[in-house]
Amino acid sequence: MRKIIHIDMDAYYAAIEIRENPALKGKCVIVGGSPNSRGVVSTCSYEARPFGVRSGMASSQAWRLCPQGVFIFPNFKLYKEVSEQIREVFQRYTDLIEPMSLDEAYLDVTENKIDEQYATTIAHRIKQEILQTTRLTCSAGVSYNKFLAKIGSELNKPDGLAVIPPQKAQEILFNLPIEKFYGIGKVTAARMKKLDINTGKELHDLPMKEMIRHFGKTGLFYYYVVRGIDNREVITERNPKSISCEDTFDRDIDDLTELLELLKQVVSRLTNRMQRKQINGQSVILKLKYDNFEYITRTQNIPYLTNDPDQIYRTAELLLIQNWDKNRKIRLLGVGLNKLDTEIDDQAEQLVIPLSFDDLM
Amino acid sequence: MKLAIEKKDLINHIMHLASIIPGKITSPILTNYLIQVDADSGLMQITASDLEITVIAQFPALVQESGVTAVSARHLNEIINSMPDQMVYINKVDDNLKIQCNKIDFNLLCADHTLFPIIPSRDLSNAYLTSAEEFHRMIAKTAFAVSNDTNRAVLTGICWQITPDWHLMAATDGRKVAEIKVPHSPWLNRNAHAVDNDGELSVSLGNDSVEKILPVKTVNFLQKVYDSDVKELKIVIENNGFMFAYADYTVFSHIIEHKYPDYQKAFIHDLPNSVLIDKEALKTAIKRVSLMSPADNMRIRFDIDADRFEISTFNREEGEAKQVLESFSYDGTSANISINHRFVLSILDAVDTDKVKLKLGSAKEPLMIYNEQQPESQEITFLLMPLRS
Repeated sequence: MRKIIHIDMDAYYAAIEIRENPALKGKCVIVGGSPNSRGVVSTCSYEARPFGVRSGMASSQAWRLCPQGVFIFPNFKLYKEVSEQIREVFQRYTDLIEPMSLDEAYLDVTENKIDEQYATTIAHRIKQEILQTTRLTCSAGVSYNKFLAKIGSELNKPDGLAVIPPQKAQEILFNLPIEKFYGIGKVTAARMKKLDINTGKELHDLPMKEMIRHFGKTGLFYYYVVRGIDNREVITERNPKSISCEDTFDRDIDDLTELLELLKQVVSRLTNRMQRKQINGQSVILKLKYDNFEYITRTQNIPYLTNDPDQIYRTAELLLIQNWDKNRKIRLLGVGLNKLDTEIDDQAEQLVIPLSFDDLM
Repeated sequence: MKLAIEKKDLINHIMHLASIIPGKITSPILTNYLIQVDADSGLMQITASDLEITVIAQFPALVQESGVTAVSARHLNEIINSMPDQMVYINKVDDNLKIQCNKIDFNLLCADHTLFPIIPSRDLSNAYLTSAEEFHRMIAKTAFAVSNDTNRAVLTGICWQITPDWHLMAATDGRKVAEIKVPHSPWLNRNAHAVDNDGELSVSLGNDSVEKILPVKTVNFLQKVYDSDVKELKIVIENNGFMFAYADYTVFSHIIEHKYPDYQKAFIHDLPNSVLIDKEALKTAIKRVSLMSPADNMRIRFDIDADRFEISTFNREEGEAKQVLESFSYDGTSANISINHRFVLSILDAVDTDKVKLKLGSAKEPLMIYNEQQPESQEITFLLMPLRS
């Protein structure tokens, strides 16, 4: 049986800001865009949560809900440094670390550097050492697979530690509200509720066939995890599946020339990043968000791998012109690439000559 | 229209024309042959076209009455093919083509021949006279490496470069490259008419070189009708198309309008390890070992050092195989490479000499394959990209 720990920092960005400026302690700290901008909330302190402030919410809305909140613009450089320190703590115990973001990681401690039999002991020590090193608290989940470890870290937040052994897994999973299942977002949760599935128990009762019929391949994933089965490995080096950049404008725009100019800037940011990371992609995705927050994404394949700004811009431009409903104003433009060579490389064993072509076709 | 022709004469001429009929029906008239017969010249002419390539076959027949019509290409081929080896009588009555042979009667409905695309005129005054055999050989060495990825039209043809001193054909699908380069006098000559017309010729040949991309469908057709008894191939190169006149056929083909990518960058002629080995022995061993190779990537592996050349494969689900070859000469240190067996066999089939020369470097570098010849007289170069090991 594997021993997996999921570590999730508590209100990470807000906690760091409070650490840096103790005067903020006890206040509603909201890290994200400023409320008179069109930014969103990245993290908020626990004090802000009773007001209904949540990550991903528009800052302006957060401000309406919690006018006494202290809004702080994120300092990612600092957050990254702290994450580095946390990672060093993890590395004292294992090299099988899968960072999910700056504030969250899975650890496989089945075999560990201190030959400790109990993963719970390791989780305790990690929590303590993170607190000593960074003066920040985290929550840990300990179990025999990633899914349950993640559920565990959610159970007693903040500063919690939960262990889910196999004999307890079913009870916890059965009582879990459907939206707490990892990977089930708002949309899927709503669809499940329509099918009268509100808890893990009800999810468990849906036959495999039905699950696949309603939710496709992910349905199968839910089918197994609700039975406590999740064989996903802790992946230390993750190859990105896609790369993207987007820009929310400071006002809504419906002028094509202006949009194309902004599109060019987004593409240029994207391709700079791709060139720095030496990533090529073969499928361009355009994301358009209208002023009512509705958005569409459209994809166009390019016949070969590229990170060339002109090529990607031309494809994105075409997608914009073809798909934009010109009666509506645009709030956000995003461009991304799929089918990256980082991903394809894993399967494509046949090496190919890097031929360069003058044109798109 | 009224004529008689030996079944064999007719079927020999239309058998390859069928490959020109478009697979996807873009315009219904193109599923037909255009048939024209002329009593004065005693010639029958059958045309097939997919708009990009148009082929005319022209040959003698006993024509009693001139005429023109269009009929289903597939049906005509199947009908004529089914006939006994005797005289076939063809007679157009109203909208029906009556085809009779012995006591067999077919009535084939005619299509409206006026819908058929306009056939370009056959003007050979600017033609080059070339050696059909040489042209045939160059295509045979390269056509197998053409890509079938229609997203990348430029790779679906053979790149043909002509300079004053030599000419070259090359093809690649990104995984393998085949190139043949030969000095071209005396085989490429302008014919007598063309000399008078230098001004116009410079459009196509210029002073330095031309590079044109021959669509694979065109060259495949020319390969099919190749006949070692017919030595002359006439070629007209214009800005937007080729015309080939060969035996009883005239082929009008579009040119793939692109710059061919610089595949030569991938060639590494000075790889450190060099093998010389009997080609048939190598092919037999590869075919044998590859019986066990995985179906998805067709992987086989070469492990070579001075006294041992091992070909091996292994397939997680089914088993493994290996063969050691001992009769070869080697210059280099020990080396290995993993490759797709089908690709390497397609290349070895194009090697001319009894022994084949392989050059390899690291497992990530290409495998270079040559005829057994001195480098300075080397005509062909093959490259195969390895599989990740």
